[in-house]
Amino acid sequence: MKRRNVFLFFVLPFLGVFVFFSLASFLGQADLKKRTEILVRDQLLATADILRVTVSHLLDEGTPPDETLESALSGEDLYFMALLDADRNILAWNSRYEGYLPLSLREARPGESGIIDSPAGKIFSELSTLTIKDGRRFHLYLGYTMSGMEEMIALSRRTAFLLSGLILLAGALFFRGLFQLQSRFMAKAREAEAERLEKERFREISAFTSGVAHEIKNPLNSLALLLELLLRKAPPETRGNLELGKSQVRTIARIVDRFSSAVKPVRPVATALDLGDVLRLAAGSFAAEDPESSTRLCVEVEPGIRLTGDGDLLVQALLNLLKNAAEASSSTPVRVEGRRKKKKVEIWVRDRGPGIPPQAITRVFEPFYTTKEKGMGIGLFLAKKIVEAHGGTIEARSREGEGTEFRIELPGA
Amino acid sequence: MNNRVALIPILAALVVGPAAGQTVGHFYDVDKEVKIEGVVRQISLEPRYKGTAPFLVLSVEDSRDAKRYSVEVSPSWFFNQDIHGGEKVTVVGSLAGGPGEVPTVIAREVRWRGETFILRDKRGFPSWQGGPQRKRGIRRFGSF
Repeated sequence: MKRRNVFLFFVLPFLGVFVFFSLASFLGQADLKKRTEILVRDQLLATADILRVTVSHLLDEGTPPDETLESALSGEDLYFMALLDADRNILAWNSRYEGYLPLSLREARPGESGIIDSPAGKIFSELSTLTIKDGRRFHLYLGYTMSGMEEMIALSRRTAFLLSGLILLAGALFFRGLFQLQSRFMAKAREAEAERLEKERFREISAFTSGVAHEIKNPLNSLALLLELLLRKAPPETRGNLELGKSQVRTIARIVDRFSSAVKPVRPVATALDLGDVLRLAAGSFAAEDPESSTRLCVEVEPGIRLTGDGDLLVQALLNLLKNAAEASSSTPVRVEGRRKKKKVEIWVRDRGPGIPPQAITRVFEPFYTTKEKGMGIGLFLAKKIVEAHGGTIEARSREGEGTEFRIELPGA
Repeated sequence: MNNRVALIPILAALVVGPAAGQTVGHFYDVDKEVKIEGVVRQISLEPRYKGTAPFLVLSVEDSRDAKRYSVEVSPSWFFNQDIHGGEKVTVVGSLAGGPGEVPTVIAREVRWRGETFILRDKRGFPSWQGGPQRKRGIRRFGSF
């Protein structure tokens, strides 16, 4: 799935849901505020009624206005309170804040209530009228704090913000993960596609090479036979040339064989093996092929390491690696190590040659890729094919000027 | 006589008078806002509200009619300025019942030396009281 599609199918719906949630939350907040205000207003009106009755009772008893207010005072919720006579002259008042009595006697209407915004928060105010037993009328002006309500609304708002933040954070983390996953998937898909194309190309080359090899080998065999016959009948002075021709034909046949073996599928015949035997056989084969270089070979193997595989093929793979290492380093030792690593078997082949440049190290296992003048680029490719046919892996590491090491990992028995 | 008296809290504390006899009308009445432009004649610290710090009170002579006003500014710690006698001030505030015959103005805004100090909001809420976190007990007033 392309990044654009991920955005369309996942990110956009998430953002839509988030916007919807935020909108619903905002509307819910507004509704909650409205309902709470109504509730608080009703409650405060009821409280004001009680206070009014208390004040009336105290005034009936002849309590002076200032003492009346003092006696009627209750709780921290009352911000201010004033007792006015019928002509709206203030008889007594109290306020939590110095000189603060936000009553406009010009504008105030008895029975009215309202909400005043003050720096200390919202204040519910009410001007009401009360009549005592002797018929005298008074006005009572009250201001209650609505801080409890505001705190509740603020808490609800904070919770909504926190929730939104958490949703956004979770979404961001989720989509980051999703994009990473998608990137990895895309990279793997590209790799798989490249591998498929490579295999297809290789199949075509294999088919072509097999065909060519088959077509060449028959005339080559005939030619070799003909040269053999000529050699028997030829005078001594021409035998040298005929021997040379025969040798050249053998070289061509060997090259054709190597090409054929490179393109043939590897089908190991698995048997129980001892790693030490495999390494020693490989070293023996190497000594037979290149006795001079074999003196630089050093084999170290832990005893008793068992594995399952095709001995001949594994020896062939190791031989290719050894030849490669020996060719890379003309005089320095070539070390082979075999050891167990948990349930796997590890084989290291190290040389102290000039190393492989970084741009070439990724290509050393490609067929027909070589940096040597005489090489055909088949040895390492074949080694990889054999190791992979055994369910193992092979990798090459190199540092220029310090040498190269090949690591083979095979399943243990 | 040097009338430029620096307002140093220690010295000012010496001129604190007795608790002024308050009247029930001594509150910030939004219906009685006035503006005075005049000269500071006297500076004092007076206990205006029960249980609070002394208030800075300026005796201001109105430049238009030479009438004297007692201007209640704020608690001394809030208006922490070096004001002197003889300086010009412009006061916006509310006329309130004062302790004596001199009319009292509860200041909302004081303009002095080109600066404007906001002491209360338009309804008279004191700026030094902060927000809802600062809860205090009810100040008794009007029953002295």
